[in-house]
Amino acid sequence: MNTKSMRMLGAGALVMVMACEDACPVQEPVLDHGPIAENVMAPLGEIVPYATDEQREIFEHGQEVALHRFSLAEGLGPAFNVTFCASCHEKPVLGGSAGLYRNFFLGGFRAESGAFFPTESAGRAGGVVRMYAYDSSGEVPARPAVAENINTVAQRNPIPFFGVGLLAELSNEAILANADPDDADGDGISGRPNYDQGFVGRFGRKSQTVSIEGFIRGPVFNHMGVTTDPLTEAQRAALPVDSSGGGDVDDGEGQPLRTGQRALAATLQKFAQAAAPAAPLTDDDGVPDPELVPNDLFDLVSFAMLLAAPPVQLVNDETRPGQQTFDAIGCNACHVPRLTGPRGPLPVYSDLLLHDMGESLADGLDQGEATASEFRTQPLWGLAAVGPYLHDGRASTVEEAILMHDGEGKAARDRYAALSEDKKQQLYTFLMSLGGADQFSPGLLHSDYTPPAAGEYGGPMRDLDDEEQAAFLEGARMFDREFTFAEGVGAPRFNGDSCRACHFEPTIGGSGPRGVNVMRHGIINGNDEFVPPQVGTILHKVTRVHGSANQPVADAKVFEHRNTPHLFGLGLIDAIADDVIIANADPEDLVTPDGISGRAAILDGGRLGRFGWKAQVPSIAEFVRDAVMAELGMTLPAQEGLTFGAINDNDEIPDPEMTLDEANTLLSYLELLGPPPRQTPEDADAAARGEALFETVQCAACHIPSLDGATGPVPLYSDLLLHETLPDTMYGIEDSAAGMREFRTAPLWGLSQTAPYMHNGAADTIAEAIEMHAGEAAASRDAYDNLSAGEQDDLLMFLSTL
Amino acid sequence: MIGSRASRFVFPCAVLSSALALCACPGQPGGDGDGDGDGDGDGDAVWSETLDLNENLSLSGVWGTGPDDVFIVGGDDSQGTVHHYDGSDWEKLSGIPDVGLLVWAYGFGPDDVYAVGVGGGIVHKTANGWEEIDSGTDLDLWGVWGAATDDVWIVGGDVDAGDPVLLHWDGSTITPVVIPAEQNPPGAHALFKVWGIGDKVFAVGQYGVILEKQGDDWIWLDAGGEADDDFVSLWGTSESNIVAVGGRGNARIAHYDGSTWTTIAPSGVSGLNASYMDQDGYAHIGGTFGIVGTFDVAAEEISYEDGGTMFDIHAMWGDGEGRVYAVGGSFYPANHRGVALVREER
Repeated sequence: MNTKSMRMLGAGALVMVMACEDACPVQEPVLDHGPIAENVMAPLGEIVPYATDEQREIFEHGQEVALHRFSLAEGLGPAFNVTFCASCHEKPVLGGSAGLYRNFFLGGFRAESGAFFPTESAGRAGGVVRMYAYDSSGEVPARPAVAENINTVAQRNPIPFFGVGLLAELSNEAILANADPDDADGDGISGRPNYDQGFVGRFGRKSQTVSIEGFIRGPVFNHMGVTTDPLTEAQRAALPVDSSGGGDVDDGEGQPLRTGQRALAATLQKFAQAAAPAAPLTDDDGVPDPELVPNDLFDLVSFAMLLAAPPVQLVNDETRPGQQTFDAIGCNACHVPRLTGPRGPLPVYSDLLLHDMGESLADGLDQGEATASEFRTQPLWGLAAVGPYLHDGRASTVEEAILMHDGEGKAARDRYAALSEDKKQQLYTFLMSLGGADQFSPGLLHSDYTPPAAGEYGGPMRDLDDEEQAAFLEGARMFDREFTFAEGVGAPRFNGDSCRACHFEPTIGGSGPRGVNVMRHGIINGNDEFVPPQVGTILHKVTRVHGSANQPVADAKVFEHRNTPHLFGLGLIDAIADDVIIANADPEDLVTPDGISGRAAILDGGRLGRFGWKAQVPSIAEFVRDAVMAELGMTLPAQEGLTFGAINDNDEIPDPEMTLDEANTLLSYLELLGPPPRQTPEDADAAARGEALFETVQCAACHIPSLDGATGPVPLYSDLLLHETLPDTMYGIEDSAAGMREFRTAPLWGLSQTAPYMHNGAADTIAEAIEMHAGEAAASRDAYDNLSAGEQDDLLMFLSTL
Repeated sequence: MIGSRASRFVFPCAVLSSALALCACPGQPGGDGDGDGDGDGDGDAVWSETLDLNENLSLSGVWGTGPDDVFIVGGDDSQGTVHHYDGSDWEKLSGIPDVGLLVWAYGFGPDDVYAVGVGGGIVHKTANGWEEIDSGTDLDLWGVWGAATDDVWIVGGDVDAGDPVLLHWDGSTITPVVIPAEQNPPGAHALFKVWGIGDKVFAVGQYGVILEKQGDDWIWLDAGGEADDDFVSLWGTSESNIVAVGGRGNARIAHYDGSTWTTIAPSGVSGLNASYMDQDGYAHIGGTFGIVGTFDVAAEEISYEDGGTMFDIHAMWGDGEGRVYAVGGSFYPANHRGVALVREER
């Protein structure tokens, strides 16, 4: 049986039913690409102009939902990749795409028969490989294992949502009109639809999804482990894009009646948005399902549906030469300038169809009817602001993306390559007119960004003169800037493509949510000793190598989350004299025999470690070098007296990949970044009582309120020493001077704004964090437990001021 | 709820219904070109509702011995139900043991009917009424079939984790059968149906798994590159004419010709759940969004019919006298709805 012919047979049948009685028209060049529907475009991230007041209110709440960081108590996980929707849809604004650091893995098992099965990852997740887990049962390690039979792995860069509601309104015919599955016109471009639930797919890198509700519920579960119920028929009818099935609605319970007006499957194409999965999603994390309440899901779906189309400019004298080149070299064969929906022509610059993009881009995955080398034509609206490009973000620039086209796109690519530089520039000018150019940012800070003032989170440690202010701003921008593969990100593995990638809570320079945890792993040998894997203890999130899922060494037995600590006030800590820190050390618990020791982290060369969860880094300068290599996978020039970082790696980008000037800009920024401001307590008297209790229950034995710094006391609430705080039964990671169960006393300044807590981010709340203290801190924890409820509240009130 | 906003939508109570006229679609594909897909070319088959439930139950399985002895099983979160048709009226049977939603039924006579369901429930109707059989598992059971009342196979499993459930009932004892990993290359967690004819017995399930009983063993069969999604049910007319259907996002149809299973992925067709065959070359099929129709095995074409429902069709069975029953609904907790249709020649 010929599978392909069968597919076409079925498709042909459906098309016929759907009224394509005439020969399907082929997209012909239209002068200046034609008009654009009114009231559908707005700056990226804004609401469609035609929205009602009620929809604007819903849109705003939908934004809140998209930005909400899900806690474990709210149902995050047990396995997940990120903690909030905007993690992956933030660039250049909420609803957009994301940098390389938000790339994720999709994988599966390709059988000898050719059948492809999406992999499981701590359960079924649509082939998504989940990178984190908090599983109290211990069944799922902190880095969930992928299925043993996985033999296909690909990466995905997050996809922007701008204008998706308008795409949802497109009829099947509007998309099918450009289909030419057998290349009947002989132009080397085919184009065939994907299908989802029998409807023409339009969302996702392979057009594998038809409904926005489905395109949201899936990722919310697969990437966050947050469960949802399907929207009711009544809710679907009330969405900005009517997603009801067209059946009668039971006014008693909001459910459809048993029989309705929908009968023939072929007639349902008008109601494609009703094809969202009908099954509730459940998990076993102990949080009642659904974890996202139906009204919040409704608002989130509405928010997506109401995102305006990017502001594509009509072709004008400046852009016309590029537009003509666009057409002349054949870009418009797939990047069809207009698709016409009920509101008029939409400047999508995509046919939303599948095209064979050749072996060099093939990802090995089947999705719906799309094969391993087929991808949806990516819409070009908003192009300027949503890089990196292509399905896995491998292209750092638009030109790279063009030159990486293969398969059906190869001829156009070759014609582009043969263009004069002037023609290429004209084409670029045209492409930049397709929306987003004035919202482009090399990171997430926009062009009008102004750093917070001194005394605010993210502000400098003091008032700055103009020159210092300019340097601080430059540093913030460097901290925020997303580096690219072309610039050397990845060695080949990496965790972030910028410093801000992990440090952004509550603002740039801060801590990170669980979705940017660094994963450490290691081996426990037969003597119960820790053995670091040869690849190092860091188990990175992402890689520049295709086909790898960054899995741990086979004999890894211990996995440890490392939650991102904030960097506020780092310069003050850097300036504390070694002697001040060492003075509190009591390694044998002899000086103050109180069960609390405190050991200075003496590193190679006799330097005192003071930064990092294990006090494994001795200075800010080393911290920068360490992070640039360990997290970004980028090399730096050697610097006298500094030992962290790397001057070479094994990617194809010439070393050093980051200049000393760039590193020094980061260093200066961190040295100036102010300490976290104290918060005003809701109840000052309670906070004062709590501060006294902080001493009484011996929190202050390790969390020393302040250390003498270069310019006065530094109120960091830490002794910067190592203490054993894990239970004897737990294994951790040895790191430099710190043993498996030893951690540096975490500074508590900034506590209230930098959840989650503990080195592994396992605590949603401060109270939970206290309960997780063990080892040397067990006595203090017990003392806290023995406080009255009111006293505990007082202590927590005090801690909330930090 | 995350954050807040001042007011909520007031959802409309009834919308759209009368505005939606069905398109006539005169050019529907059909194996015989008449549009009713039954292969006889007369184009006069119609579907109508056969059972007015008047309560919120899911209907998930149908089987009978003939036109005047039809059983429909279903239920809700708390209780499995059985409706019986005696040729003129439907009756909701009492005395069903305390089991959850019943998913599938099969039997050997009016007083020898098995039904299985969620939570490991098995019930057996004898001349003495319904009795529960201890399955030994609390996993969901999705299918039952037997060559005789003392040779019954039951399949199931948790689609999210663990190994598929395969049980054998010899009339007195349930015996679990372990499927070795090498006979389950895709790592399916569940089998959904089991069915046989003559010397052939097959079980189908998650991730395109098709197992054949060969002696005491169940052997995985390669059904081709399109056998990459769940197979939900199967039926046939002979050892060389069996059709299995499935798919979740997009349909899968597999045909067994006596030696080989071959799978197709008909483009633009949503997932299928139900298959019933009463003549060579044509299978009645049903699926999501109320799809009903027939599949012409030779032409590899689907002919859609008007089932008049938007609910998923879950099971089909024919009474041997031209009537084909289709049952379905909504199957999710707190959202149980059911629909039962019958297809008759006009």
